[in-house]
Amino acid sequence: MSVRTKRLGQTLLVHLDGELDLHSSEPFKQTVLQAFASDRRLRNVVLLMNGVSFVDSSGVGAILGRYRDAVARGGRLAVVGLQVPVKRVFELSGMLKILPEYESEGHALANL
Amino acid sequence: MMASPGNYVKIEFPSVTENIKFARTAAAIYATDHFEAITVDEVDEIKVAVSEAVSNAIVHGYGHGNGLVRLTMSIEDGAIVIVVEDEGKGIDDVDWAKEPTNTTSPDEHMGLGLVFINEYMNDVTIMSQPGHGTVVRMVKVPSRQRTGAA
Repeated sequence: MSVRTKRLGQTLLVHLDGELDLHSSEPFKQTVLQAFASDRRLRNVVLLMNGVSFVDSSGVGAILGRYRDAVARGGRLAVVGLQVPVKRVFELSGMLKILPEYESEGHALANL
Repeated sequence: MMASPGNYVKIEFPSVTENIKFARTAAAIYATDHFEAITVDEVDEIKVAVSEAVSNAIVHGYGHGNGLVRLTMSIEDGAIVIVVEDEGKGIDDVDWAKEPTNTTSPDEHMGLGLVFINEYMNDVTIMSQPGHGTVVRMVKVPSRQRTGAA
């Protein structure tokens, strides 16, 4: 799993690549927490997930945790580019009822 | 060619999280090796189910402590049978654990692991004895039954 971030105003863009499970969700979690801790202006998160081929309930839990972090700062968390198996897991877990999904990074940024 | 009767694969590994990916990948290879017509969706479902069962063994069975997890895969009557075993603390109430959102974990686990396993596998049996461990037996029946070269 690779996690790369970029700051854009109040929004943290997080590029995820690989498989998100109990093991790989920890670096993802720590990366977002550290970014939030180091910049008080940050309040939104956009997860760019085109490169994520697998998510299980631990991955869902890690994303939900970051959603709560964003909401606690008055912000939002959006997802972009869900692959078919990832989208099924999101649907089954009810994540798409609370997380907006956008076609592109541009759409997400325009709507946050 | 049909799988040889009684043939199986058994893998044993320490209860550390870096082995979760290996376990689900091994199960995916086993499934595609024995059922060449298995769908991509079905392989993805097996991967999620194995990932959940192995994660549960590590988190709930051993509480992230030392232990061994066993993954056994076999073919029975046109189905893939996957068994994940641990010798951890066991589950006090299996029916309670199966309910969505019920979890004994204090962090970000949502209690959805067994929900995914039940949704994605055709038959699931959980046997657990408090203090002695847990056995999760999961059966997947591929919708297209043409078998592989195994």
